[in-house]
Amino acid sequence: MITLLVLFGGFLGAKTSYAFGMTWNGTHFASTTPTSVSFCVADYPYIPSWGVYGTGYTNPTSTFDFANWSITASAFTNGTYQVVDCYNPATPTDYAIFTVNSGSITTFGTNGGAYFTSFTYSTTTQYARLQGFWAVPSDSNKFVSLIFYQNSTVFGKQDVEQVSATTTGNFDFSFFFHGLPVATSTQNKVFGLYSVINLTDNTNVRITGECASAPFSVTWEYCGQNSTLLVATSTIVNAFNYNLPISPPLKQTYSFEECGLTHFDLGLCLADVAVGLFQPLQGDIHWENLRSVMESKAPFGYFYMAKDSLGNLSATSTPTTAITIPSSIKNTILIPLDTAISGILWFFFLFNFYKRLKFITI
Amino acid sequence: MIITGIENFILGIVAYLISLLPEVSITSPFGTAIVTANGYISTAYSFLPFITLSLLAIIAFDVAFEFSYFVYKIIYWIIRRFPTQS
Repeated sequence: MITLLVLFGGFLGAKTSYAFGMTWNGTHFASTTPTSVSFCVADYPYIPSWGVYGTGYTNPTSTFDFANWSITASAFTNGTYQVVDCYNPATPTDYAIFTVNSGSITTFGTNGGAYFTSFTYSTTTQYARLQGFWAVPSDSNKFVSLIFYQNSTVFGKQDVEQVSATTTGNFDFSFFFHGLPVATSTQNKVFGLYSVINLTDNTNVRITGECASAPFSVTWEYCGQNSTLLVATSTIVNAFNYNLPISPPLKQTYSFEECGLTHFDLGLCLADVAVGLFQPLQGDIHWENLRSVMESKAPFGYFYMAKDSLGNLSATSTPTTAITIPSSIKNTILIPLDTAISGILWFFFLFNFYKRLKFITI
Repeated sequence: MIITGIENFILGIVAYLISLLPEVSITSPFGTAIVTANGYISTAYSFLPFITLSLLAIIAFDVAFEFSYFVYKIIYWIIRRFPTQS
């Protein structure tokens, strides 16, 4: 059902597509060009070694055409990272920042490389797609994980999802995000989509505690230093995009007029009184009380009971009947069988649902 | 303030009426059935997660769809009882 909702939601929500990002073509990062962002400027004073290196561009103080922008990985200085600030001259607050990190400072096991090859997202589907490569470290006490979240100064960290590497190879994940509030001129750096690859030890403690999203982090807002655990030839890119033209979350919009001795207007004062009397205050309506009552009373409570039971399903939880199946049989027989039969089930579901719809009378 | 008060008053009445209903008990036949079913489902899920989730999602969707359609038919039937509606 959730899958269907996502699929249907994607179709219903199709409006304007506004996706941009950057992709790795094997030798350099190339921009996926949006028409509304036409310039990039290398400009971020917090980074001591900032600059942009790449094809057709060496001077970090001038502008260049975003459409022709590219960065060659070999031009990077090992252990440094660069920041590219892209904006539209017509609307300067509508911009994106790409940070790129490359280097070989130390190794994290002999096979611990990880990097992004593509970071794109769409406000149409509200999904961010992250592609890249990662390798399971040879040291069994360490593991690689990918964390994605949306962060803003308004709502904090949202939509946090973490995926751990279990096999070495390319990864391709799509993460849902709620959408981003429209920034004003005074809060033009209020949100971003973050994706960070972490290398952590088995105590789940980040190796370099200096950065909020260390190692491998290029989260410039938190990390004023370079990661010290980059693997040779690894290259990471993050994109932080600001002020996208999408709808902000709903909130109270009425602003009370000034009503005092120095600025007295009877009409405005009466309007303020009327609004103050009748305007519903969302925070003062206690829906949670009703829900807590419903959760403990039949028959509603049985619905919540079933919902909680299903929500606690986990492949790693201990079932009531535990049967150990060798992983070889599981990988070669059970998982393909599981996938195939579930596909057939969905096919039959769609077929029968179509037949059911034919007999619906409205 | 006034609208908020009215809404909270209505919510209070609804919450009071619901509070008169009997408590949910996991030892009741229905509660036992849910716990037992969850045990079987979790076992199946550990072996065949996609099939289990697919079946649950399809059943949930069917129940939600048929329930919504049923409610729609009832509301439509009530509306047609009004003299000016046909």
